[in-house]
Amino acid sequence: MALAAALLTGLTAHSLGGGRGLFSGAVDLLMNPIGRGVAVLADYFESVYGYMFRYDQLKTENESLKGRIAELERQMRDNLSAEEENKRLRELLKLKQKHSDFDLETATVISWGASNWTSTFTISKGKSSGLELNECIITENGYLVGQIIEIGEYTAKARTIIDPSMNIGAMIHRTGIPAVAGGDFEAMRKGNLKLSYIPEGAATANGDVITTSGKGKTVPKGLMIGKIVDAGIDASGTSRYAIIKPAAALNELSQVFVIKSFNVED
Amino acid sequence: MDKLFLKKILRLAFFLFVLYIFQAFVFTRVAVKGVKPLIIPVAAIGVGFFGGGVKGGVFGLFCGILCDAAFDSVPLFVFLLPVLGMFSGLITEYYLIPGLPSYIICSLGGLLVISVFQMFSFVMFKNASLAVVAEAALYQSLYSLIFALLLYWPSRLVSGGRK
Repeated sequence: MALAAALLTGLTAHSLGGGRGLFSGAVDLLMNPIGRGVAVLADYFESVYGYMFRYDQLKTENESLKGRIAELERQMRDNLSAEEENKRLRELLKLKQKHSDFDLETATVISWGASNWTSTFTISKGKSSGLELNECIITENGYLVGQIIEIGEYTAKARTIIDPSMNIGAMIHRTGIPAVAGGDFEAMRKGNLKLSYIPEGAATANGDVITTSGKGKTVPKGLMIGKIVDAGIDASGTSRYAIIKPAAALNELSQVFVIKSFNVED
Repeated sequence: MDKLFLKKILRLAFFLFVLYIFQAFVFTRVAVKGVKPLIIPVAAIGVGFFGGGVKGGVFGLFCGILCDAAFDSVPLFVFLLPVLGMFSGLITEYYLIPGLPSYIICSLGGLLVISVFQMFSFVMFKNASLAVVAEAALYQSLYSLIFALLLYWPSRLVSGGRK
């Protein structure tokens, strides 16, 4: 009894003295692992409970989040598309300021020709929009794309500048020397066109910009066709040619502009 | 009109419609080495191969009309495909044993004939190099042959066999 009373007095005095009581320490020591175990078990049962009873709620929440993600992705796509259109329209505005005489009609590329021997496409506008045969088609930057070859009421078929049947009056922009830019089967397969009838002695260099000369009066002067990437002499050895890489990205065309009228320069 | 006959015609028309969608709108965007496949022509040859000369000829005529529209070509397929469809039917009837190897030979032959006709104006009138044109023709034929293989069963199914 005396020993127990002494122990109790000692422990109490220790607690009152500000130290952690021996009882508390012992209880902590014993209860800590149990508490942790209980917490782990509680977490486990909570998750089981959640799985069993909150599954439907989580599923609904998951579906709702998926829907939200899809909606955000759609909005992002729309924004990108609007941004691209905005960019195109800004370029078009610059082009309109530069060529105020152009009467342009916007059209969309509907489909591409299936042939391996030609390069054609169909646009979403036709006679009903005031389009006519041989009118030329450009991008928003003023790069030449092609020319209308068949026209319907609501659609028109055009050939691109790389089509083997294409011939346009061209000019080496740096020197002002005239030549003829036209399609060539071999060049077409690589996505290019050919500059022919280059006068003897005319200087050409890789990177030279080729523009339309305005001769023939169906295509306005000064539209960019592309840049020279290679040059050579014909198999006959009599005339020179150059290979032009089109300025317009023909494979990526979606929106194009048809020049319905322009001022003819003599 | 006989119901069965009508059903066969509708089946062929639907087959041609699906092929046209693929030819004119899908494979114009999927070019391998700058080459797009000829799907409708191989179907015309296939229907002739399995259905006989008459079926091949008539189906080939409709295929030709649609092909000329899709390929922006001068009227070429409208004359060529009925002949190829009929010819593949007749050759199978008299000379070939119907089966996959004969079908491949027949399709390849037809595709090469088409390519030769397509090459003609480029070599004769546009001063294109024969080697370059022949290379394009070969790629076109070989690429299209893959689709001939894919169309083996559908062509067999829709042709309804010979009488």
